[in-house]
Amino acid sequence: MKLKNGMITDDSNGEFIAVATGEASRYFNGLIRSNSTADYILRKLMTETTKEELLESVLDKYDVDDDTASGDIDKILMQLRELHLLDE
Amino acid sequence: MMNSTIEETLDRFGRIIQTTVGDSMQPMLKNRKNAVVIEKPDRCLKKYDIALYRRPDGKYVLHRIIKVCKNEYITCGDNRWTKERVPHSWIIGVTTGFYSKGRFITVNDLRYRAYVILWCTFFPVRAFVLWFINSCRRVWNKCLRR
Repeated sequence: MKLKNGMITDDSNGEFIAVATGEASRYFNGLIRSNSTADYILRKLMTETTKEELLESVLDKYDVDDDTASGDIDKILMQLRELHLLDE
Repeated sequence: MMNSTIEETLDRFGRIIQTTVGDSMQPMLKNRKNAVVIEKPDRCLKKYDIALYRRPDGKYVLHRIIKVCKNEYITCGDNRWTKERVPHSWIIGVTTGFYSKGRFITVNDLRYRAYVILWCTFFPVRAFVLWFINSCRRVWNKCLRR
């Protein structure tokens, strides 16, 4: 799975923002504000990946237990599905 | 999910990133292919700044300032030939950079400044060429409909 083509992430101002251009903009016409963890997951989803690979990356990067990381990832994936931004 | 207007977001965060819609700022900004970074202005805008403003009918417009007057700016889209008089009070923000093909380009980038100088210096020629192409297109479409 991966994000639809055209998603742009930006963190140059200390905030984590994502907007849709190109193909992704056909499905989403707003702005996503996230925290650093969600932004990290969004950037990982720019290339084809699996939930297991995401979980492994998050556990490597953050000091968090399996269940918490898995729950957070599921929440983000669910929100992305609702916005029709995920290609699976 | 929270719905906010552009003004509310700029008031709260001072900055917004927005996907561009429309063709009035081509070739620089293409419909739904680019995203612009807009900030709340902390100074009077200058010639060649790209201003975001809201018309009284509620429509948001992102066009380039081609002249600064005492109480208004004169604006025009890079892909347009008609100018617009924009009172200072309509201005919401100014573009400080944009994303093109995944890369972020600031308005201080040398290549961007070269584009602005070339594209805007030849405004009369560009305006005529755009008007001419548009007129030919309209005549062609009329002929097709007959």
